[in-house]
Amino acid sequence: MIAASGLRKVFNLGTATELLAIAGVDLAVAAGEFVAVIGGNGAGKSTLLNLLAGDYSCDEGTIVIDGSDVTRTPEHVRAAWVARIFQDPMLGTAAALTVEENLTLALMRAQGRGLRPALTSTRRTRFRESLSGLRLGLEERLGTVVSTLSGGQRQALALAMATVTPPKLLLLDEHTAALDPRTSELVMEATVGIVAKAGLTTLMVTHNMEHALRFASRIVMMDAGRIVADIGSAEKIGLGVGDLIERFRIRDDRIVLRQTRQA
Amino acid sequence: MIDTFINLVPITLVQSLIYAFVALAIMIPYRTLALPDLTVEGSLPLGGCMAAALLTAGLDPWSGTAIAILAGAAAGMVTALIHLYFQVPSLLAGILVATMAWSVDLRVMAMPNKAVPAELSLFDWLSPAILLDIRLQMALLGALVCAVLAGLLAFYRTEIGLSLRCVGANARLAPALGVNRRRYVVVGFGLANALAALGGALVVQTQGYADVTMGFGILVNGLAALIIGEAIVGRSSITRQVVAPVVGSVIYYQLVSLGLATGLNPSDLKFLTGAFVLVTLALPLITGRSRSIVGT
Repeated sequence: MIAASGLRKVFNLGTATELLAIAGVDLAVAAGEFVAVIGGNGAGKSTLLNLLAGDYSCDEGTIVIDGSDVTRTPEHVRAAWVARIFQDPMLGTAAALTVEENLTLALMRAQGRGLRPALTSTRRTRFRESLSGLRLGLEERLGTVVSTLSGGQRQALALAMATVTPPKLLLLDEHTAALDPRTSELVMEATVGIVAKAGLTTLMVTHNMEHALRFASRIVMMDAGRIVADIGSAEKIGLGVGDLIERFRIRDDRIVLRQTRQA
Repeated sequence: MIDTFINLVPITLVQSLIYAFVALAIMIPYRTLALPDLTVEGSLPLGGCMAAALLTAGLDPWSGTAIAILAGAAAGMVTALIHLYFQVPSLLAGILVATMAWSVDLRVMAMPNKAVPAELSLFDWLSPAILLDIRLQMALLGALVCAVLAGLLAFYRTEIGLSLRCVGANARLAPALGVNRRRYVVVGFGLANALAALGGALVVQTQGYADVTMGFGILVNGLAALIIGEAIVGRSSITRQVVAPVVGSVIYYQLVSLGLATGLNPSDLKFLTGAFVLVTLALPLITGRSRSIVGT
């Protein structure tokens, strides 16, 4: 259970470039829910994810994960519960390190670190198992340096890293947007498979309406730093990509938005 | 001329094994944290002067050397803290600490240089024969360097060591994986400058005196050694990366010795070393090759 309430974030406060990025967001996500966050550029989707991850501190509001208030918890501590995959495949993995070293680092996200040897045969076995599920052949390339992998393979590795220990909250920041359509589908299907299997609470920022409709159990639409529509699973049935785009266009129509909120 | 060089090979080897600690101290922050640090220019003389002051004051050589190492570690940590908390670029933070260390050295020794009689040294404590026999020195320092390399490699393969490398490999990713970047930068800078101070303490105890100017130009020498080592050994794996500075140091000081034996003016040395480092930095840009030896 993730609860964000009254979140506000202003960038460059008091300067000419002052920007109200998040203007009061309340969002409660039940355990196991898969929420797609959609909205135009600058709507505040990525900022919301950054606030939840602890990358930015919020100016107002609270963030509660499973009953504990993490509002002031720094990113590296919050990482024990929150895992994320970035849009840029270069960002989500350490290029100079090997596949198994990256996975070990991800494993320690929840387990902490000591002066023990980092790579053990037990861990390698575990990595091989979790990578074989992705069907990209990465399980045979544990010792490969990540910089030699393709973007899709790196993003699949990032997925394996984010889920090697199930996080309480999985954040996906347009994680398939930088990939070619075929690889994008592959990574998306692998993501959905893992999320469903482990019942992960997931927030996915996406520009792909079809992905949002097909995979998410709930769709949240953002505009100008606010949540302007919240479409639950019941209402989602029967909606098409066209309907979503329609709602995008009429997002300034207050009446329609109020109806959506009440629904 | 060549005879002079060949006669000097053992002495130069001993010198290069000690200065290998400086090359290692440059490699650790630069390569495994992706943050250049030039505190070594201050932590090497700090280690040397601390050791000289403590040994001549009557402290046993083990404790004296250990305290010198701790002083170097402290200098490195201060650099890291200045960089992290006051957002001063790491190079400037290093210059500040190295400059301030100079005054500390003068305070600690109460004079610009100090003789350290052989019988007070660590080597003499082990066996009086060592300082008289260059082969014993080579064996002892070779063993010490190998032990430090083995220790460093073991460290980089632990969970903490791997996390430190993650900070250097992807600073943005590190906190998302639960790595407290600041803590690891402090640890890395401390470790590096502890090694530089160890080098300083050993220099003092082999040459028999400490001088506050002993760190001058040491950074560029170490950088040149690191570049040569990486060109030969490479840095595709952590083992190669850790071994490279030592190999580079051994070769660099032999090259310098060869140059001096064949008539190179010692006062031109810093210019030539600087030019060498500059060329290796500029070459990939000039030739347009993307994979540089010195690339970040």
